[in-house]
Amino acid sequence: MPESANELTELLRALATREAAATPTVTLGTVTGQQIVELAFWPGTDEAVSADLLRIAGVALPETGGRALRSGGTTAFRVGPRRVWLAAPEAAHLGEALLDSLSKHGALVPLGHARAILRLTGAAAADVLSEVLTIDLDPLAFPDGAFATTALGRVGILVHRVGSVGGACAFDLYLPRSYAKWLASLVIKAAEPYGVAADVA
Amino acid sequence: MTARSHRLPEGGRIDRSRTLSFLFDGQSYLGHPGDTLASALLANGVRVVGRSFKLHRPRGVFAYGVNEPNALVTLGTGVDGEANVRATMIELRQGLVAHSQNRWPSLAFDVMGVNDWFKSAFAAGFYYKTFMGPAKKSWMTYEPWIRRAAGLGRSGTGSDSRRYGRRNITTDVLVVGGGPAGLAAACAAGRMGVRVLLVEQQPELGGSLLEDREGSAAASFVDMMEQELAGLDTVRVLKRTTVFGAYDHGVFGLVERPSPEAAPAAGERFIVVRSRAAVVATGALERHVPFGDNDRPGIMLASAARTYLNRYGVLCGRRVVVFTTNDHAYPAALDLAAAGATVSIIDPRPGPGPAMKAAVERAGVGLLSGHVVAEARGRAGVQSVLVAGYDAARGGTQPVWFELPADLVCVSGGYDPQVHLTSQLGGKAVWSDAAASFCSARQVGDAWASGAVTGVMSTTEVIADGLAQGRAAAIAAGGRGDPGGLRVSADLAASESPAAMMPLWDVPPPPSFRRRRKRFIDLQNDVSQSDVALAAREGYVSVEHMKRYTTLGMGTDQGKVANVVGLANLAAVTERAIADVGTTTYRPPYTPISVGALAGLETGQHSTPLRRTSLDLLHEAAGAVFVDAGHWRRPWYYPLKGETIDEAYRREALAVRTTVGMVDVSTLGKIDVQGPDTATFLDRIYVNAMSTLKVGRVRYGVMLRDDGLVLDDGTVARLGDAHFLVTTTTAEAGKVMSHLEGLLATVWPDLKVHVASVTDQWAAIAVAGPRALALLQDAAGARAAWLSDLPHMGLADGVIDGLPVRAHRVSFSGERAYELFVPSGYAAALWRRLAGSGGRHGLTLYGTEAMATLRIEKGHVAGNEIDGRMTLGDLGLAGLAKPGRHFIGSALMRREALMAPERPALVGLVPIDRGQRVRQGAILQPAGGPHEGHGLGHVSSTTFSPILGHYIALGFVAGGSARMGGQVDACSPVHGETVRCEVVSPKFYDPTGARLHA
Repeated sequence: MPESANELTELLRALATREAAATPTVTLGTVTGQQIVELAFWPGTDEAVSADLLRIAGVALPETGGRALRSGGTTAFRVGPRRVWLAAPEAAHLGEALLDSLSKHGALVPLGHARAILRLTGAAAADVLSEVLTIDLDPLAFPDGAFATTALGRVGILVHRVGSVGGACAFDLYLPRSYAKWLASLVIKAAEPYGVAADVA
Repeated sequence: MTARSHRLPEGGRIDRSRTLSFLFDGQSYLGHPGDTLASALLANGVRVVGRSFKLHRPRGVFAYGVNEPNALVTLGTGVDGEANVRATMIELRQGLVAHSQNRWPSLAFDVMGVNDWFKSAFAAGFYYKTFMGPAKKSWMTYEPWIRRAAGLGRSGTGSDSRRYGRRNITTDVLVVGGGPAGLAAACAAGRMGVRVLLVEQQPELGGSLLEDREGSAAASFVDMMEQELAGLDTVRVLKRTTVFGAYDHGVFGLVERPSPEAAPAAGERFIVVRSRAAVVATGALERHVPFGDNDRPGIMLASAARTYLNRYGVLCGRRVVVFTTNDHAYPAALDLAAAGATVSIIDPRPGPGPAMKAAVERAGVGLLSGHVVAEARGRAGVQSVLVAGYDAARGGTQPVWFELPADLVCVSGGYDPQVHLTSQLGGKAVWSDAAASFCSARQVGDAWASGAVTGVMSTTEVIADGLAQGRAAAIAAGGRGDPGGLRVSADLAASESPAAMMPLWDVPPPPSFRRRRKRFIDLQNDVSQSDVALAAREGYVSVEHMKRYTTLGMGTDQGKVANVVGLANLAAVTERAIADVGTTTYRPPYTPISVGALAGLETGQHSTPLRRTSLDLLHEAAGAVFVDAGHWRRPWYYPLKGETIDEAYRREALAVRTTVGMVDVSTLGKIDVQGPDTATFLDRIYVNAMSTLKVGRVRYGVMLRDDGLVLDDGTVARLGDAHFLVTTTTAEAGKVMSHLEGLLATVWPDLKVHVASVTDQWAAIAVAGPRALALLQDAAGARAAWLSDLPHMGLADGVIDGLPVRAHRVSFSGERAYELFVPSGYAAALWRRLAGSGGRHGLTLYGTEAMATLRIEKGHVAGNEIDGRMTLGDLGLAGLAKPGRHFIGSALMRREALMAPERPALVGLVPIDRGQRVRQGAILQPAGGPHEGHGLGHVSSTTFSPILGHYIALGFVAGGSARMGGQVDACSPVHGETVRCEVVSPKFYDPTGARLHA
């Protein structure tokens, strides 16, 4: 099977060929090879789902929204009362593993191809995002591991404060694939005054 | 200070180590960092900086901040030229270019200045009384000329090259205003551990304290507070930023101006603040007193003259008259005298407080109490004032007067609290006799007013109040502890003046004056006392009506100097109390904000979200011309070299009929529906049953709205016992998704059904035409049986060239067709594989135009037909709904009006003259007339059918099938065309569907 195409690669390559900012304070990159599965479970199955999740994916069912739980390579986002997103490297084949155990408790929907992940790293990452996101990104309110479903350019996205990546503050934006290129170009526009570079490695 | 220069050799907060050059009306001048354009012009002896709005009278700088009514300039040139910018708010930068406005050919000689000679004619309501005749619509003729004559600056018409930023900030306590109250409030809240955002519209903190001299107790207090705030990591300070709007739930709108050091392309930044609590410490602005010709250049507010002196080192005049009704202007007189000016104070009161009186005597400043300035003289700049005695008891001037030379007149009629923000939040401003103005409510929701905005004018009291309100706001925002106090110098307290002010709203001319001069209330709009009186005489006694009739309080300054004076004059002429007259409604913005800042980043390609399918780059490479479909951009057609759109889409459509075509249908809405109750759920939302659908099969379905009209159509594919994939039209995907989520959340929460939008997860490619299967078999190679065996309306999962593909054998074109669903990341690979095999089969890429042609030929309805007004019956789909079944819309679809036989029904239309074209949107009228009103219906879709060789159309005709075989006229008033058409079946091509199975 060929490698899945990434909507952001071309845009970031174009950014990388521009004259680099003298002192970039934010770097844009993308996360590839990521599998995302939406798990929706029926009322009264929380405990069973949590146990299965822990056993199969190694991550507990987050009790509330707003904070992602991460274990190994898997991150769990509680995006609704009975709805979780699980993000993990494709190699983990998480969807297939979950399908066997969890389909009796609810529904599993693969969404890995439905999202493109834009990663912002650097000292100015939060400042850049505050130009385009309305949520409170102060570390006191939005610490490492926090996530929110919010609007970017009037499009619904999920933003996750990953924590330190390579010693720098990092945010992952889960962008609807069809809007990804447009949204990323909006973020680039917001980032330009801060000095922006692209990581296309 | 040279002959022309008014800059003192030392003093002020400007950086004298550097010199900046700038142009005003093409003339080069010098200034310093820290100057505003206004201070730099004054330093260079420029007195006339603009012409007034209506009368084109010469005007000079009047204030020093956001309340400036006169000194409006156009900043910059060309497309980036920004009109009506207050010179008092423009920080000087090297190479700045500004022009005066509303004058021709020059500021010194303005032809339209002739208006001033006829000023008595230009009274309130002049336009409406004069230009209403002779014809009914004469105003329309006059209006453009009047606007051209009366306008101020002109904006550039090209694309603005500046970059306008945007920022969202969430904080615990927002403190509006960096004056003494705001500084204290920010300090108190910051000490209590909550996040504080302190916003100041000037480039420096200090507010009114900056009017004082360097080294003064006020200046020392500002320095101390800046140090304290810098040491609090909970406090963030935004300077050059104005809070222009206060909204519900702690939301505030701010605009930040770029600093002079910012890149020239930097524009304003629009900031939205969300705050748990707020302290509104917006202070008070000085107002003036109307007297004869009180608009002459060289007349300004006392606070302005003092600020230009102490902050910018500019002595605006040598012979100064300070006309004041209160003690707050006395320090201005003292400072000006100390700088070397000859100063006389004219005060209608018996005198100031004893401390101030002693200070005046010590400084040798002349003080004439019980007198007023009745008139100014000097057209291009004040040269003298006429001073008369004032009878405070009677409220009138004495007949005896004398002339006093003056090149600077400082006016102070008291202070108006800036109640805008608390008023916007719903707090009604209350009249205070002590302050002689409207003062802010103390608390509105989680916003606390503090300082001068509440009518407190003593600096020490303001500071104490700031501490108290800052503490209150911090507690509301979750702060803890005691903020403690502040060390306030005894000198700061000692400099205060407790004497009462005298409200003075108008200085009528002494009875002995022969000529009556305009006594301006609103300088920006040339509204005088006589205009207010005229409005009242003509019945405009409501303050809101008076405002609109006279234009008092309109424009860029929104009457910050004039409003209360205007209200007081209206009260006087209508013999009411000012409190009874009330205020006009305070609405955002407090100060102007550029439209560019409001647009922020959302300009050009970012003004509207753009959706691309995963095949977008391939479409570009294939030379597609795109069309917008909602947020999506879709290939419209793929022209060959030199081909027109008509030639292209006809070629593409014909290829589908004769060989094979391929189209990107990824934009179709796709909803994954799972759960044990899914079949039940789908039965309730579709007019036709879905529970009977077998696994591996696809069915066409239609949904209704609650009101019985058609919502959308699409297909339902059963992937498993409890797993379905629903497709919707591109246009209605979001609406249908919300519809389903809403039903599951509110109407049937007991159903175990989960819906998820997978529109972006799956790309979709339709391959249609007699050679479709051959092409797919070729692409799939040896493993093509799953495709070969697929029946019409069947689905199967398989692999093409190593790619996971789900094929639905459904057709929108009427040809044998396959919709191939593939995970979006693999879509490009699949498309390339199919295109690679396509040459042998005559593959043609087709776009939405050809797709429309194909579906019209088949009589399939789409968005043009499902327009929110149609029933199942109208669309010819009544047979889908079996009698007795219950589903959303089933009750109301049987309303009498929706069942009426005369309802418009879907028909096909063919021009009698096959060479003619039927226009979309044409009104269908009886053949031969009469062609009146809404007629019999309308044409919804039209195309040239390449397979039939003529135009065809779909439309709705009253009576529908009863008119089959008859004729109607398709009338397009837009094109001036009438085309006689035959009413036929909407299935123009292959009505039996034989080709689907070919």
